[in-house]
Amino acid sequence: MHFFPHRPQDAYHFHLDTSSREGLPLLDMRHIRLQFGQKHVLEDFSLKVSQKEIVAIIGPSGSGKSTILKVVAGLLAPDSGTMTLRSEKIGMAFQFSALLTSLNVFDNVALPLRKQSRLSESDIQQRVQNTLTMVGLKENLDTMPNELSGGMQKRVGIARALAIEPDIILYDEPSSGLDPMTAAKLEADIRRICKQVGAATLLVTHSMETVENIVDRVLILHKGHIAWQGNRKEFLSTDNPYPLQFRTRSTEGPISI
Amino acid sequence: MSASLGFLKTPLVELGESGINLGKSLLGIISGQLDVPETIYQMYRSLLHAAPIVIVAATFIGMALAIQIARELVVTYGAARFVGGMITVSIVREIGPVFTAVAVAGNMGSAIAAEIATMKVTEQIDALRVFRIDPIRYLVTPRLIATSLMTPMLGALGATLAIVMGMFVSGWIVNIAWGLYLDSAQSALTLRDITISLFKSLCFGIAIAVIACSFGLKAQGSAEAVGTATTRAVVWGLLSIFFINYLITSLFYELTVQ
Repeated sequence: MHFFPHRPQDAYHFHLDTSSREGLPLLDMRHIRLQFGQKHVLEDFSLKVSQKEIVAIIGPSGSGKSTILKVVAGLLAPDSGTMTLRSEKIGMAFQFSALLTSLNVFDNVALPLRKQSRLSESDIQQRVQNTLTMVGLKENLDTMPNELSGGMQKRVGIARALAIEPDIILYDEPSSGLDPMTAAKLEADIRRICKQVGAATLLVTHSMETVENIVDRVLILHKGHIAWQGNRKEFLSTDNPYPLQFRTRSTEGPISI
Repeated sequence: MSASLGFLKTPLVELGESGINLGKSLLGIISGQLDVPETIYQMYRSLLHAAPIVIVAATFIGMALAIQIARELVVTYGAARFVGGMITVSIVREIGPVFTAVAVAGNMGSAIAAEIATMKVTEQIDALRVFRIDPIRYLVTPRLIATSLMTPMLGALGATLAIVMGMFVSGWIVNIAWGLYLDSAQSALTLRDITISLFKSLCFGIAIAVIACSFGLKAQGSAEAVGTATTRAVVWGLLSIFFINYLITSLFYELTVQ
C-alpha cells in the first residue's frame, strides 16, 4: 500500500530558456504524455507557438484541451515529454474568469503586478488603467466581481492576464457564455492585443466563430491525440473529416457524440 | 503497511499535508515575506466573527460551573473559601482554552475552509499560481498568524468573563462575597497556569488554521466539495483540540509534576 501515489514524472523535462528567441517558438511542447489514474489525457502531444501567432485548440469536451493550458501555465506536470518556454511572462484568462472575489476590479488586475513586478504604485495604477481601458472597463475600477456581468468578468480576467505584458497568453474558452456581440468584440480584442503586444496566443474554444475569425492555426484534439492541424485557410477548405465535422456542426463524423 | 491499517492512510496523509503547509508558512514568516495588511485584516475578522460566540459561551459556562461547584462546596462541605479558586482553576486550566478553541474552530475554522475551498473550486488559486503568487504565503500565512494570535486573546477574554460570571452566580445562589471569591481565585491561580493556558490556546489556534487551510486547499470539483471541506475542517479541528489539550495537560500537569 502506498501513502503517496508514485507519478513517473522523471521523464518530463521543462526548460525555461530566455537567452534567445530569435526565430524560435516561444512555446515548444514535444511528446507530452499525461494520465490521471488509468485515463490517458494527453498522448504524444506536440505543439509550437511563435510570437504574434494565435493557435486554437478545438475538440469535444473531455478531449484534454484545458489540460494543455494548465500544463503550459505550470499548474499540471505531465508524466513525460519536454516543454520549453522562451519567456516566463505568462498570462492566463480562465474560463470562468477566476477573479478574486474579495478584491475589486482594480485590485484584481493590479495583484500580479504588486506581487511580481517592481513597479511603483503610481506605475501600477497607470498600467492597470491602460489595460482596463483596452478591454473597455475603465469606469469599473471600484466594482466588485460579483457586481459585474459574465462578459465583464471575462474582460477583467483578460485585463489581469494582459497587465503583466505577457509574452505568452492563454485563453480558456474566452467567448463561452457571452452574447454574440460581446463575443465578437472580445474576439477582435484578442486578435488586436496579440498582434499589438506580439504575444504567442494559445486559446481553447468551442466557438467556430472564434476559429473562423481570429486564429492563425487550428489544432483538433480528440481523446488526447492531435487528430488534425493546419492553418485557418486549410481548416476552412479541407475535406478532412475532422475539420469538416466541426465546420458543419455535424453529429456524424469521426467524433461520436 | 498492511491492508488492515489502511484506515490510517487518510488521517496520516492529511496530517502530513497540514504539517507541510505549516512548515511552508513558518518559512514564509521567517523569511519576512508576510502580507502585513492582509494579516491585520484577518485578525480583525477573527475578532469580529469569533468574539460574540466566545462571550456568550463564556457567560453561560461560567454560570453553569458556578451552580455545580458553589452549591456542592458550600452546602455539602461548607468550603466557601475554595469556590473562587476551584472555578478559576477549572476555567483557566481546561475549560476556558477548550471552549474558546471550539468556538473558533466552529466559526473561523469553517469560514477559512469554506473561503479557501471556494477559491480552489473556482480556479482562483490556480490564477494565483499562474501569476507566481504562492497561495501558502498569500492565503495560509496571514490566516495562520491571525488565528494563532487571536485564539489566546479570545481565550483570555472568555476565561475572564466566565470567572466573573461565576462570581456573580456564586454570590447569588450561596451568598459568597465577591471579595472572598476573588481572594480564593487569586491564591489558587498561578502564573504557570496562565502561561500554560495561553500556550494551549496558541497551539489550538495553529492547529485550527492549518487544518482549515489544508482542507480548503484540497477541495476539488464542485460546490459540494466546499461543504465537504468545511465539515471535515471543523471535525478534524475539534479532534485536534481535544488531542492537543490532553497532550499539553499531561505534559505540564502530570509528567513534569513530582
